[in-house]
Amino acid sequence: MSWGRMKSTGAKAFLDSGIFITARVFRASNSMICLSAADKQIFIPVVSYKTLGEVVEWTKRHYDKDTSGYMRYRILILPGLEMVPRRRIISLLGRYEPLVTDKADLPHVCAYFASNSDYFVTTNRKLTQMEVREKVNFKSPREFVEDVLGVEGLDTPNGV
Amino acid sequence: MSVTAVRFVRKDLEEMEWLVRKGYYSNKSDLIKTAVRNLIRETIDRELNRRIPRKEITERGVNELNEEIRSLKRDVLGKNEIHRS
Repeated sequence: MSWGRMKSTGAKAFLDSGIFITARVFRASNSMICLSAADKQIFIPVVSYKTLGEVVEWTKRHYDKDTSGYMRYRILILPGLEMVPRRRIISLLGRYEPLVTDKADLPHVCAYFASNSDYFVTTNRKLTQMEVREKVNFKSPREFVEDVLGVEGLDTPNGV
Repeated sequence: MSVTAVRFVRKDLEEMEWLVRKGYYSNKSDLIKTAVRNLIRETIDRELNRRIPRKEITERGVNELNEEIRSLKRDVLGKNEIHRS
């Protein structure tokens, strides 16, 4: 996709680990478009140390240590990337715990609040149906591409 | 440095100044940082494309991957003892 001289939207978007994995596994996905827009500085990408850990772990399980190193740097090289550290997440765990059914998602939700992100982009539909949805601006990759970036998304299962 | 090399360097410098003047980059430092970042990104992408071949997207493939990611999240959560309970 060519972005031409598209200006930054100034939006801050928290990217879930599924975005990075989906973009790498499938040939054409909205997750890929999201990352391409982040490369072009059209929005400010936000990830937590937990996201990084999950992506690295996934790559290690399926490939090898070197490949997981490349995946790590691929995330870290995103221009203007904001990384939410552990200490900022820990302090919010108690506040949002009752609203998140699956505790594995809790650190990500806390990272979204800690970073004051405008959007939470995720491929995880179950997360978007939890009680916390009223406080979090969840977007599927397709919704993010169309509603925020203003470009036509791809017709993919669950908008990934 | 040969005369030809000097010509090339001068041409590159002029091009850099032109790009900054036109507003494509805020200054020369920004231009160089972007160029280096792009170079690293291209190298990493080339390497990842070779190591992780992409496949066609299917409903089943997406569902399986999502389930796998959920399970991975639980494993990573257990590993790093972030959750207090």
